[in-house]
Amino acid sequence: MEINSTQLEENKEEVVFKIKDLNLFYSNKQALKNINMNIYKNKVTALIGPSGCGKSTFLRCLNRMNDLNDECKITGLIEYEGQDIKDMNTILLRTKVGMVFQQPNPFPMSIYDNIAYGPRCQGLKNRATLDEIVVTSLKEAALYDEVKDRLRKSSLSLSGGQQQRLCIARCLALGPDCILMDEPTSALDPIATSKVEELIAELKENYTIIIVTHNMQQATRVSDYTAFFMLGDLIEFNKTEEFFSHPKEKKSYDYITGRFS
Amino acid sequence: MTLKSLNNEAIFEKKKRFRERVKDFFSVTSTYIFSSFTLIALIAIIVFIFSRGYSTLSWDFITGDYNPTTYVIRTDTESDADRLDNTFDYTPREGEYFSSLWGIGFMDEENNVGEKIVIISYVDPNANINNIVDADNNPFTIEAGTTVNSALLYNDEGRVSIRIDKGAQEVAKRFDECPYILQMSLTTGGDGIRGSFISTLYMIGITMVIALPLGISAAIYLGVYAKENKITKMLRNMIDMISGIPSIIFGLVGGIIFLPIVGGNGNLISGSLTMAFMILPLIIKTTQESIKTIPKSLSDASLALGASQTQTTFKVILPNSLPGILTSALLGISRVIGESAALIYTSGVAILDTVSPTQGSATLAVHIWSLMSGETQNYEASCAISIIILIIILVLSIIIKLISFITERKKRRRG
Ligand SMILES: Nc1ncnc2c1ncn2[C@@H]1O[C@H](COP(=O)(O)OP(=O)(O)OP(=O)(O)O)[C@@H](O)[C@H]1O
Ligand SMILES: [Mg+2]
Repeated sequence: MEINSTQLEENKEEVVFKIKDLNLFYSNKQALKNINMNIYKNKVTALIGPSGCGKSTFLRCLNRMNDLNDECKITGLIEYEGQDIKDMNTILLRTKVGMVFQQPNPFPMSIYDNIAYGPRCQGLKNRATLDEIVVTSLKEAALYDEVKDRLRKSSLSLSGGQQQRLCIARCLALGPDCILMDEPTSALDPIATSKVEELIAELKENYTIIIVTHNMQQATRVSDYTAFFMLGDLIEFNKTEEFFSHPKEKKSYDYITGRFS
Repeated sequence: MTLKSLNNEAIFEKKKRFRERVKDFFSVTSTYIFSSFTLIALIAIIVFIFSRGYSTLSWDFITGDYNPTTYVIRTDTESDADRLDNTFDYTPREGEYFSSLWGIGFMDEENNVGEKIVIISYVDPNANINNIVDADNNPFTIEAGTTVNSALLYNDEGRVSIRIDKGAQEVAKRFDECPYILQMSLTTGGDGIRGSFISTLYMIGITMVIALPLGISAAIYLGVYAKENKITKMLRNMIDMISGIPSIIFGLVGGIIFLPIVGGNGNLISGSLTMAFMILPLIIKTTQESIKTIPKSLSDASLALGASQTQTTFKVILPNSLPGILTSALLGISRVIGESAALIYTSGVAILDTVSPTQGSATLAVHIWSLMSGETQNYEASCAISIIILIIILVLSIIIKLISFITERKKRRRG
C-alpha cells in the first residue's frame, strides 16, 4: 500500500480527494479499515470489490452522506482540494461533489423541475438563467435531443436509462467538480449502459468521476484508476491498465480471474 | 414396503383428507355465517334509518329554522277593501276540509312528538286578499303547511272561539260561519337543521385549522427529524394510546380545560379545540405512515443535491405525502361529523338557528342527541339527520378510497 501511494504521487497528478487513515464503524461493526488513497482530477476512478466490502460506504463518505446515519462513526481525514471536509459546509460540499445513485431516482415532478431543483435550492430564481442551466445540463448529459419537446412532462414518463441520464443532468446542473456514481448502470440494459458509459467518457474532460461498479469490463472501459476493496480493506489502488494486467496483490489477481466473487 | 403397510398408509391418507375436509367445511361455513350476519346487520341499520328518516328529509328540513315562527294575525277592520263577498270553489282532497268563504283548506295532522294538530293545507291563490294583517299591521300572506294554534273569529252574533282540538272539520265549519278574524295564532316552519349543519361546518373548519398544522408538524418531526431513542419511542406509544381514549373522556377534559377559558357552557371554539386534540393522533399517524412510504432514495437525492433538510422536507417529503395528509384530514372530518359525546360538554346542546363560533350550539350529531334525550323522542328527524351524516361519511370514504387508488396506481407506474 505505502509503496503504491508513493509511486502514484510521482505522477504529479492534481489531487482532488486525499484520504488518510479513514476508518468507519456502523455501531460497532467496522465497514472501512484504514483507507489511504488519492483521487485525481479529471480522472475516472473505479471502485470494485465483492458485495458488502464497503464501496458504497466509502463513496458516501466523500460527500458526507453518512452524516445522516447516527450509528455511523468516522475517524481519519478526508481532504477535498486541500480542505478537511469535516470543516466544510455540507451543502457547499454537496454542490461541489455530486452523486448519482444505483437506482434512477428522479423526483416525481417535471423534467425541467428535476434539473432546476438543485439551483433553486441554492436560491436561484431567475427564469432565463434556470432555462439556460436546464438546457446545458441536458445537453451535457446527452439527453436534450430526446426530451427537448417534453421538458414540462413528468420525469417518470422517461425510460430507466433516460431517467439515469436525467439524474446525471440534475447533478451537473449544480456545476460540480466531482461526480460520485454508485453502480449507475446496474439497473440499466446494455444499450442504456453503453450510453451512460459514453457519457462518462465525455464528462471526464471536465469532471472528476468516482464510479462504483461490479462489472470489471466496465471498470476497464471507463476508468483511469481502479481501487479494489475487500471486507473494508483497500487491497490495491493503481492505474486501471496496470491493475488488470499486472495486479500486485494475490487477492486482486484472484478477484480479477474470478476465483471468488 | 409391504402391501399391508401400503394399505395402512392409504387409510391414513384417507382419514387425513377427511379430517381436512371437515375442517375446511367448518371454517368456510363459519365464515359465511359471520359475514352474512355482519351484512344483515349493516343492511338492517341502513333500512331502519332510511325508512324512518326518509319522509322527513327534504330541502326545507336541511335549510329550515329549528325554532318555529309564530304569527298573530287578524282582519284589518279599518280598511274597507275587499270584503268576503265571494266564495271560493275547490274540491278538497281526502281528509281535507275546505272553507269556501275563506278559500282555505284545513287538515288534521300529528306533529313529530305525536300531538294532534290542525294545519292549513290549502290556500286558494285568490284567498289572500282578505285584509289580513299581522301584529304590526303589515299585510300577511298565509302559506300552506302553517299550523293553526288558536283562532278567535267574529260574526253578526258575536265572538266565536274555535276549539282546535275538535279537529279540522270543526275548524273549517266555524270559518265558513265567520267573516272576520279577531285574532289567530299561526306557526310556520321549525324542526329544520340549518343551524346545526352550519355549526358542523364551523366545527370542521376550526378543528382542521388547529389540528392539521399541529398534526403535520408533529408527524414531520417524528418521521424526519426525531432521532430514534427512548423519548421518541415513548412519544409514539403515547400517540397510539391517546387514539384509544373514549371520546367522552376527551369531552370531560376539554370541558375542564377549555370552558374556563371561553366561559359559559362552551362554544364552537372550545368544542373544536377538544375535537382537534381528539383527532390529532389520527392525523399524526396517517401522515407519518405516508411519510414512511416515501422512498428514502428521494430524500437522499435531494440532500445529495445540496438541499438542506428543511428544503428536502418542504419540496420532497411534504408534496409526496400530500395524499396521506388529505386522507388524514378526511378521516378527521368524519370523526368530527360523527362526534357527540365529546361535544356535549364542550360546545353545548342548544340548537340554534343563527350560529356563531363564539356561541355554543349543537352540531348534527349533538342535534340527534338533543332530539332523543328529551321526554319525547323524535325518531323521524333523528333518522333524517342520520341519513345526512351517513351520506357525508360515505362520500368522504369514497374520496379516501379514490385517493389511495390513484396513489397506488402512480406508485405502480413508477415501478
Ligand atoms: N446503514 C448501515 N448500517 C449498518 N451497517 C451498514 C449500513 N450500510 C452498510 N452497512 C454494512 O457495511 C458494509 C459495507 O456496505 P456497503 O453498502 O458499503 O457495501 P458495498 O460494497 O457497496 O456492497 P454492494 O456491492 O452490495 O453495494 C456491509 O457489511 C453492510 O452490511
Ligand atoms: Mg453498494
